[in-house]
Amino acid sequence: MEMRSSEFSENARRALADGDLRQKIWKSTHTGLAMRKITVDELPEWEELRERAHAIRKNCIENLNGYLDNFERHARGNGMTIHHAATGDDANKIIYDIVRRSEAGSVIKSKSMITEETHLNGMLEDNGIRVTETDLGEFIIQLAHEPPSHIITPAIHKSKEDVARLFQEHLNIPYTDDPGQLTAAAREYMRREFLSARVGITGVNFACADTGTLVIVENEGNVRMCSVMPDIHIAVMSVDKVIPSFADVPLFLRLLTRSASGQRITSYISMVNGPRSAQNPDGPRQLHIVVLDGGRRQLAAHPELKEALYCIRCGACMNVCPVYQSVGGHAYGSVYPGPIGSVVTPILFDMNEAKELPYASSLCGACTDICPVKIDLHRHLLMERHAIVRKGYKSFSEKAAMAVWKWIASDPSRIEAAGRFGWLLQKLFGSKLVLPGWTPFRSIPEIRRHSFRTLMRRRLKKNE
Amino acid sequence: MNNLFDRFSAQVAANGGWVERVSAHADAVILLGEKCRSDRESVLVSDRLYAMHESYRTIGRAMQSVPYILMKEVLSNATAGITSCDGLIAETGTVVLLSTPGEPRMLSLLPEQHIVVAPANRFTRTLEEYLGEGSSAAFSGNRGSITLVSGPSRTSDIEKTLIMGVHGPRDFGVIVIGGSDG
Repeated sequence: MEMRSSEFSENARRALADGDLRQKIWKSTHTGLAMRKITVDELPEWEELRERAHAIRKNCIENLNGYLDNFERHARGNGMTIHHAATGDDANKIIYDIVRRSEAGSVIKSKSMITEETHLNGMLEDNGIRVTETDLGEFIIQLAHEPPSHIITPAIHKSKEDVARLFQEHLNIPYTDDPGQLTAAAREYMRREFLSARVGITGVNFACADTGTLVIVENEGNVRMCSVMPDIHIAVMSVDKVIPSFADVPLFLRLLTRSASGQRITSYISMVNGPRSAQNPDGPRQLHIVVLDGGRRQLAAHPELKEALYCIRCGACMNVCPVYQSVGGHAYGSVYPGPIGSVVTPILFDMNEAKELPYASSLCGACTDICPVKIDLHRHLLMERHAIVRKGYKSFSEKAAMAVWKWIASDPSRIEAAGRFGWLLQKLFGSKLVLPGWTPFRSIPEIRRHSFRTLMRRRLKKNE
Repeated sequence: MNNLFDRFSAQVAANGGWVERVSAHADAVILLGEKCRSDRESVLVSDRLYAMHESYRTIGRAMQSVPYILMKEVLSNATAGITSCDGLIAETGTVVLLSTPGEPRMLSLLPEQHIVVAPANRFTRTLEEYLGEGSSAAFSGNRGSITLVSGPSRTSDIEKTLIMGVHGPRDFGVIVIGGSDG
């Protein structure tokens, strides 16, 4: 079922009532955090690495166009073809055109958040192109017709029994809920796809401005297959994936793999320097890079929120967020869930639609503390709230309540009068006193008959 | 050198692979024979290894004998791919593979087993040290691609259960030649 950001409260309520789902999310987020802690604590220089990465990302986003130009010049020099897309639809159209010209009826894909953002799969399928997701987690949710619920482990909401039923139905294998046998079945199915595929689509983790190198991080080997085996490789990236120098790659790898999966390094890291050539004996004949703006340049111009573009998509802020831990990724109704998702979704997509997301936080700051590139996430959540209020995306009753409160709070005698009125209401109605949207989630403190000011005034009088 | 070897081999083991040390190419060939456990026809060997020592010819076929149009088919049916490498990174248990003629990327990807044979003088402590000062300049002229491999293909997408060999090799090993007295 497709969930919408505009229905976050309702989605969250349903997720909270689903004990099974909560258990799966709890287990997976806490396993992730525990593994991360082991590999982060062993680096005494962790804080210094975060500072350095923050400074590099800051410089990069503040000079985005310059670094992009450099990247594209070098990538072209390496034999890659660059395509520019302003919107997700533009990117999809460019990709579809490449696939159509190749006369391929199907494509293989590795996990890529940017193509989730552009809804590429739906667009290709509408045009008769079969799409196979090759990351095991993505493959599982593709069979289930569901969106990912986490950017690193997209199928964390699925139990092995869920996977067993899906594979039994779609891969025609006998029912087994053994993860090893399920993985083996996927391997066999997928290998046939890899051998016959003519077009492979991948995302990009880092695009190096000074060498034109694409860096892609993974554990399964499906990225390597998608980028090496087909005749055509299409790499899709948003503009913020660029980093100034290839020499910075070790730093970002160190931060990314530890934060994302608690690994000192992943099994495979591909550093792609071009298509098949005399020096590159295998690989695609054509290598296309689709560079998508998708609202990033506008965000890069924002004096404060531009920090959200420093993100390297590790997902640690999701694992550590008490809201995400309780409701999971789907409730957010966005490609990017959790704290970073609640910051970027309103500004990159639709602020009115996503106006509840910045409130999906207790502002505890755990996300800011864990972020490997030191994005001040909880402050940005607060800023998004300001922006939403300023735009007037609030209900009439909330706006009216705030206007009344403003009128009362701007005059001491009105506050005193309101206090006495509150005391009277509480005395008359007690716990039956209900404020919709407030009292169901919060208890009202007991209001005393006399305010602090009144008591002090009396006391001073007596002492005179 | 021993420190680097120890860290490297502990790390590869932690990533799900194995490391052995031998003193000469001839010993590496014997070990490869034990590890591969299949006939010469279904083992493919990098041309760089052939060039290093002729005894590697007894282990498997030369990669260069396979034209590009047959490469996917041959390698997918092969049981093992034997490659050299350009760097050994102790901190993370990583081998650095450069794609060069005679050592295509699919050689280390499609067979179920990938074994790397590397001289001990390839060790560095970290990836930063391997890339060294001015790495960007060094690599901008290199149109070949670089692959870092640190263990077998793995996934934990089903209930966070770790499984080896999802798409790429199930078995990943490194044979280091020499350096034990260094």
